Amino acid sequence: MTISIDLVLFALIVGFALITSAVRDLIRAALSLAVISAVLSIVIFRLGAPYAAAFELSVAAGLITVLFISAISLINPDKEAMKESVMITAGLPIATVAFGALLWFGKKYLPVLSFMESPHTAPIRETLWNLRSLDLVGQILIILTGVFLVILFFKEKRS
Amino acid sequence: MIALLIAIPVAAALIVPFLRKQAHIVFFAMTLLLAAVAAYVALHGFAVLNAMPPWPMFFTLTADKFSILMIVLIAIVALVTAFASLSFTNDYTYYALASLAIAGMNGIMLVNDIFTLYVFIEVASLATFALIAFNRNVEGFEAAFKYIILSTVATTFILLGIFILYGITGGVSFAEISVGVKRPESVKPGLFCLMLLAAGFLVKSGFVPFHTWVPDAYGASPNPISITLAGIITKAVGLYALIRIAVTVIGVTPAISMIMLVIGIITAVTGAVLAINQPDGKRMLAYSSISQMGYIVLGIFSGNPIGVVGGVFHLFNHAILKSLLFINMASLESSTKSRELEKYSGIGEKMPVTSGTFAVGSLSIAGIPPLNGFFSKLFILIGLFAAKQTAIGVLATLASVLTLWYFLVFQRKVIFGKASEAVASVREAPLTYIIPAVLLAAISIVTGIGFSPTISAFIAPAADVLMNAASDATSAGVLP
Amino acid sequence: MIFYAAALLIFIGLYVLVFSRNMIRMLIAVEVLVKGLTLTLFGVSQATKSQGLGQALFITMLVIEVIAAVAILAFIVHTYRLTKSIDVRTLSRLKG
Repeated sequence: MTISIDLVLFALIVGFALITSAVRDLIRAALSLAVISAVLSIVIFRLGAPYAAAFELSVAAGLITVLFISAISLINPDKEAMKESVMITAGLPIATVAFGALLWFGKKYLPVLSFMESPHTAPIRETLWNLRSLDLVGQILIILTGVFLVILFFKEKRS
Repeated sequence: MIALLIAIPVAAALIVPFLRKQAHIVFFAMTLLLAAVAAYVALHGFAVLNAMPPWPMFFTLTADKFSILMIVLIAIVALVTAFASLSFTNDYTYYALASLAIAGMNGIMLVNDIFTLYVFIEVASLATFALIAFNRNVEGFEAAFKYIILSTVATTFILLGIFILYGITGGVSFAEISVGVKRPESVKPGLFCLMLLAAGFLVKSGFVPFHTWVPDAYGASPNPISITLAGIITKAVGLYALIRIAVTVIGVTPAISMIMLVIGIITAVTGAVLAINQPDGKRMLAYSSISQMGYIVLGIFSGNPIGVVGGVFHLFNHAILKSLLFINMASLESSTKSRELEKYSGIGEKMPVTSGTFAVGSLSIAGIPPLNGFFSKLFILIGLFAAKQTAIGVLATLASVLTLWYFLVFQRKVIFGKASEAVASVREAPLTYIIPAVLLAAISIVTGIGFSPTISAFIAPAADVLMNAASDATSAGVLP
Repeated sequence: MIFYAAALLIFIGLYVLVFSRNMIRMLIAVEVLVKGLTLTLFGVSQATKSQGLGQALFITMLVIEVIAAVAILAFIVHTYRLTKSIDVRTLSRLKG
C-alpha cells in the first residue's frame, strides 16, 4: 500500500473526526469540524468536482463553523463543557479501528458494486438548471421552513 | 394544474406574515382551495405536468392513481386541521409551517425522482419538527429532539441508498433506477439499497423498533398537529415513499415481501400491546397508530390482490379514523382540561356529539361491521390467508382482537360509565371541533356501508397501480 | 479507497450519536455523518463520470443540511434558555 496523497487526506479526515468527537471543549470540536471540511474540500476537488469543492469550503468550513461557534457562545461554553463518557473517549478509537479492520479483511464478503456510466455528463451549470430544477423549488421551500422555524424559536413567549 | 398543489400552500405560507391577525382564516381558505384542486385532480384520474420554456425551469410532475389517493387524503386532513386550529392559535409561524408541511407532502406525491423525493421529505420533516415543539414546554422539546435526531439518522440511510442506486444505475430518476436495477449484476446491490431506503422510511413512519419517537411526538404536539401527524404525515413521508420505491420502482422479491410482513406483524402486535393500559389518551392513540401502520404494510406486501386492496383501503381508513379520534381527544381535552382517561368517565351524556363520533371512530378501528375499518381489516386478513401466510394471518387476527379490546375498554370507561363529579360542569366542544368530527364520522359510515362502490371507484384503481407496477411506470410516459 | 473513509465516517457519526449526551456533540456527529455521505456521493459521481449531476445533488443536499443544522442549533439554544442544560437526560428527567 503506497502512501499516496489521497491516503494522507483520508487519514486526516478520519483522525480529525475522532478528535472532534472526543475533545472536551466544544469550540475546539467546532474548529476540528472546520478542519475536516477543509480537507474534504481538497478531496472533492481531486475527485473532479471543483465547484462543489468551493461550496464545501465556504459553506461547511465557513458558514456552519460560524453558526456552531455563535450557538456555543450563546450557551456559555465554560460552564457547559461536558466531559464525554468513557464510551466515547476510549471506546470510539477502539471501535473505529475494529470496524476498519472488519471492512479491510471482510472485503471479499461484501457485494461487488458495478458502477454504470451515467448519461448525465453535462457540466454542472446545465444539470442544475435543466435537470434538477424541481430540487431548486425544494431548496426554496426548505429555506422558508427554516426561516419560520427560527422565528418560532426565538420569539418571546406570549402567554 | 397539479403544480397548484404545491403552489397554493406555499402562497399561504408567504401571505400569513403579512396578515398576522387573520392567519387562521388564510390557512382555512387555503385548505378549502386545496381540497377543490384535489377533487378536480381526482376526477380526472391522472395528471402529468411537463414544465418547459417559457418557464425558466424544466421539470415533470406526475400524479398516478395512488398519488391521487394520497393527495385527496392530504387535502382532507389539512381541512380538518384547519378547523381544529381555528380555536387553537392565531400565530402566523404555526400556519406558515403547517402550510409548508402540506406543500412538502404534496410534493412527495408528485415527483418522478428519488432525490427530489428526499428533498420534499426533508421539507415536511423539518416543518413537522418545528410544529411538534410549538407548545414550547419541556415535553414538547424532548419529543421534538427525539424526532429530529431519529429523522436525521433515517435521512442518512435514505441518502446512502439513493447514492448507491445512483452509482449502479447512473441516474436518480424513477425510470432510470427501474431500468438499472434490473441488470443482472445490479439486482443484489439494488435490493441492498432497498433495505437501506426501507430502514430510513420505516423510522420516519414509526415502525417497530424505531417507534420510540411516536408516543412522545403525538402526545406533546399541539392537538391540531397531532391530528395532522397521525392522520397523514407519518403515512406520507414514510409509508408512501416506501411503497412507491419498493413496489413501483425497484420491485419486491418474495424474500423482501417476507421481511416486510415480519416487520409489519411485529409492529402491529407491539403497538397493540403497548396501547393497553396507557393512561394518557393521546399516547394510547399513538401506540394504536403504530399498530395500524403495521396492518397497512401487512396488506400491501401480502402479495395477493385482495390483500393489497385491503392495505390501501386501510391506509385511507386510518387517515380518516385517526384524525377523527384525535379531534375527539382535542374536544375532550378542551372541555375537561385533562388528557387522563380516568378523568373522563361518564362524559357521554355531557358531550353527545363528541361521544357519538368517538364511538363511530373507535368501533371502526376495532373492526366492527358495517363500518369501513371492518372491511379493510377483513380484506387484509383474507389476503394474508389466501397468500398462505397462515402464521402471520393468525397473529394479525390476534392483534385485531387486542385492538378491539382496548378500544372497547376505552369506550366503556370513558363514554358510557357513570358521570363522575369531575365532568359535572363539562359542556360540548366548540363548533370548530364538532364540524370536522361529524364530517369524518360521516365519511367513515358512508365508506363502510358503501364499501363496494368506494373500493371500485377509488381504492381499487390505486391498488392496481401497485399491482401493475412495471407497466404503469412506463405507460406514464415519465422517461427523461 | 474513498468508500472506506466514507464508511468509517458514517460509523463514527452513528457511534457518537448513540453514546453522547451532549446535544451539541450529537449535532456535530450528524455533521460528520453528512461528510461521510458527501464522500460517498463524490465517489459515486466520479465512478459514473457524471460530476455535473453529482455536484448538483451535492449543492441541494448541502443547503438542506445547513438549514437542518441551523434549525437544530436554534432548537438547542432555545432549550438551553428554558432548562439551562444541553444534556439530553435533563429533558427526560424534567418530564417526570
